[in-house]
Amino acid sequence: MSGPDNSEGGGRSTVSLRNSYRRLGRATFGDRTGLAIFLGTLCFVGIYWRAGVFITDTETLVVTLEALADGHLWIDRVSENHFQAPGAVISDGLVYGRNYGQVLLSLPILWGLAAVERVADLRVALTALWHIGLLAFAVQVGHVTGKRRTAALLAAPLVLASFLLNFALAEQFVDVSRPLLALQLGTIFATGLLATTTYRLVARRHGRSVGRPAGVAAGLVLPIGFWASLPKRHVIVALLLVGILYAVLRSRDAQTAVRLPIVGQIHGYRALAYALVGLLAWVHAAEAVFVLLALAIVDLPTAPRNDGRTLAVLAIALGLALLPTFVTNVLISGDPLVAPRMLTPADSHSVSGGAGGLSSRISEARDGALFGIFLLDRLVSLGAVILSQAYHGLLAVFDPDRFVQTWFRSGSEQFLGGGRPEFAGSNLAVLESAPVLGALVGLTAGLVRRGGGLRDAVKRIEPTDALAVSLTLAFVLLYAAPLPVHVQITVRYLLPVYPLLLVLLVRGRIVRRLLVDHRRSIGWSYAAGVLLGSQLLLTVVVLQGLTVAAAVQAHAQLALVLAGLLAAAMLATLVDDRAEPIAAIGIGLAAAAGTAFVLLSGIAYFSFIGEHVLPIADAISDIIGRV
Amino acid sequence: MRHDRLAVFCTLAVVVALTLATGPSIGLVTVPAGGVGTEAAIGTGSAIVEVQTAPDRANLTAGDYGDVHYLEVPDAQIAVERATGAPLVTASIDVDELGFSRSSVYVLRETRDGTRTISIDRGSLDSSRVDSDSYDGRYRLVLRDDGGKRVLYDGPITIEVRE
Repeated sequence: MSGPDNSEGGGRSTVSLRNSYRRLGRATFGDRTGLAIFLGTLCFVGIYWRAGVFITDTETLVVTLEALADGHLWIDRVSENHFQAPGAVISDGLVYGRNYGQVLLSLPILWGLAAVERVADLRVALTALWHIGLLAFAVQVGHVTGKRRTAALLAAPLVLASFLLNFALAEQFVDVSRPLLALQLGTIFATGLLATTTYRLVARRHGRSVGRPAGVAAGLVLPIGFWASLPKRHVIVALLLVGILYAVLRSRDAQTAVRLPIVGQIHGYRALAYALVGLLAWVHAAEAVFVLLALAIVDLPTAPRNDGRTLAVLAIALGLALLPTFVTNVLISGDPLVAPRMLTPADSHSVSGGAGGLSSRISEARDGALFGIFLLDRLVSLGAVILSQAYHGLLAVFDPDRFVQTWFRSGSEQFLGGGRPEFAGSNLAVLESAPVLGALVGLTAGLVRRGGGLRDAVKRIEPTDALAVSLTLAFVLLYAAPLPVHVQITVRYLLPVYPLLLVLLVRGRIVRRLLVDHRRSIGWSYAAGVLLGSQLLLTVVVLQGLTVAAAVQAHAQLALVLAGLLAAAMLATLVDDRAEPIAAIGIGLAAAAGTAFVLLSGIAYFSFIGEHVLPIADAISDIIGRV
Repeated sequence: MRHDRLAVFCTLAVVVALTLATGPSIGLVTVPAGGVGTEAAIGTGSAIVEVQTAPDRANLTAGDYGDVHYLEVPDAQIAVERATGAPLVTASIDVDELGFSRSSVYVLRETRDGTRTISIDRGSLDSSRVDSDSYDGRYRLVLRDDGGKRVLYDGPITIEVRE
């Protein structure tokens, strides 16, 4: 279409509409590469998207969304057999759900699905959506690579053929919960945005050639992909953390300051960082408290200015973003500072009376004392909770058994209690879930070797590096005490930490050099690892008739070997440049191991949960299951 | 219009058109219902079933660990012909003296004519309840289909206790 965009008269509104679309696109994706990474991640995740409940916790979210769609926050009335899944709480004779921020964001998606179901079969519509995404991805890749014609002419018939095949195979969903699909779409979009934001963050510092692989890795290589369509909070929290990093990075750029009437010049991005923390509180309040501390510790000392006006703007941004949380809290617990999670769990047995311990204490306190004292009291007790959590976390960090089990080698025998029996023994450690992080060993060694130039090294540390470290530590302290826990699969409590570590990884000069100079070796070894290696692995698993746990442990062992080789190769590059090609292949293979786990776990190992949304994926996993 | 754009827009048009064709108000294309819904309900249909062998002896063996005995029932063989729908065969063993019963269920699908092996999983029971050398029980094979419930086999079975 030769666009008559700038024709006279009516054309002008089209132009301004188009411009505002473009501005919105820029703000969300950055550039075409960002959009391509977003679409590509969505398509990857869509391959193994299953419409089914993986963890019972998710049922609480589904019921919460159903309640919101009905126009109320409570999900059930307290009775002999009220709703009891994990996370549901009781307040004033009503049962409430959890993660209200996440659930509310899925509400428009739910409406969208309801509208789509009016005009098309839901299964076919979602299949069509996937294929349109794939086509858009191909078109964007064509734009980015400058081969628009080739990309379009190649992709269009392939996409059409794939859609027709899927259309022929399609069967209606057997028993699908529309709220579940809406929640899943919400976290899938969050995964795409996470990959794009990671790309933008890294590309802004080190250029697109480093940003591109980092963005792709965030979506495809890290275990983020495993949780993308399992609608828990973790992916959304991960997205918010990377968003905070990006906002802080931009806030240090003097040109991004905006001038507002009355307030004067302010750093919008710096305010955005605090606003994102406020939104995080709506999803998980405790994590938000720790993240706020981690952000303030790094941001305040490194910021160019901390005058009263700036701090006031930051406080207002945080306060405004916290409003939805406060409103939700007031509606549920009656106290803006008491999140639903702090109330009596619906499945505890001590609550036959109805009123929870904390909530009754709150109402007493409010009746008696002045509000100011009451608020102070709440803040002090909140501080005490944070300190004790951090203290227990610190103790747990120094417990060698737990440390090793959480970070390096999962114990397959321990921590089997709870959860579905099929999950027994399928919990991985951090390194087993993301072997590409083995390269961090090389980086650390590099820092140590430079020893003499420690001051230089410290000088090179940027606020975002310090922030990535402090956010990582915040999550480690918050969750070190309960970990390892069952049904973590890839240490999901620490899921937001993976992208942070990835961002730190590409800060290493050697890693960046490998990503640019040896991108072909990395690309080929990654492609071979994913395309050939994963099939080989699957063949072994199927022929040997391994159980889910045994298959997952096979992945873990492979991941550890590859992570070890990568770490060794990275160390070798410090001594001899000739080790670089080997390190590049090591990165490619370790990354491929991460992707292979996400892909195979979705299509084969855990495919007993729900039905795949893509009909072809259902057919393939059926065939694998039958062998 | 350039070829590449034409290809993209045509693909989009086909995808959207086919999707809308499945809509309930248009109804040009009906997407088949998925899952077990497409198959006959369990316990309906019909089949000609003949019992070839049925066990008359079973073993109650002491376990290697702990105070537990295991009851192992040999397999039965049945010949299935002309099965339609999803008729059901249940095999059950009842030992009244031990208060023990166990059963297993088989669905006969259309494509699987021929001889089928019917087994009952090993069952465990507390050793303290075993105080005799042998027990008498009953072994039954029952077919459920459109014709209702039919007893294919009902005979005594001797349970021998082994240490």
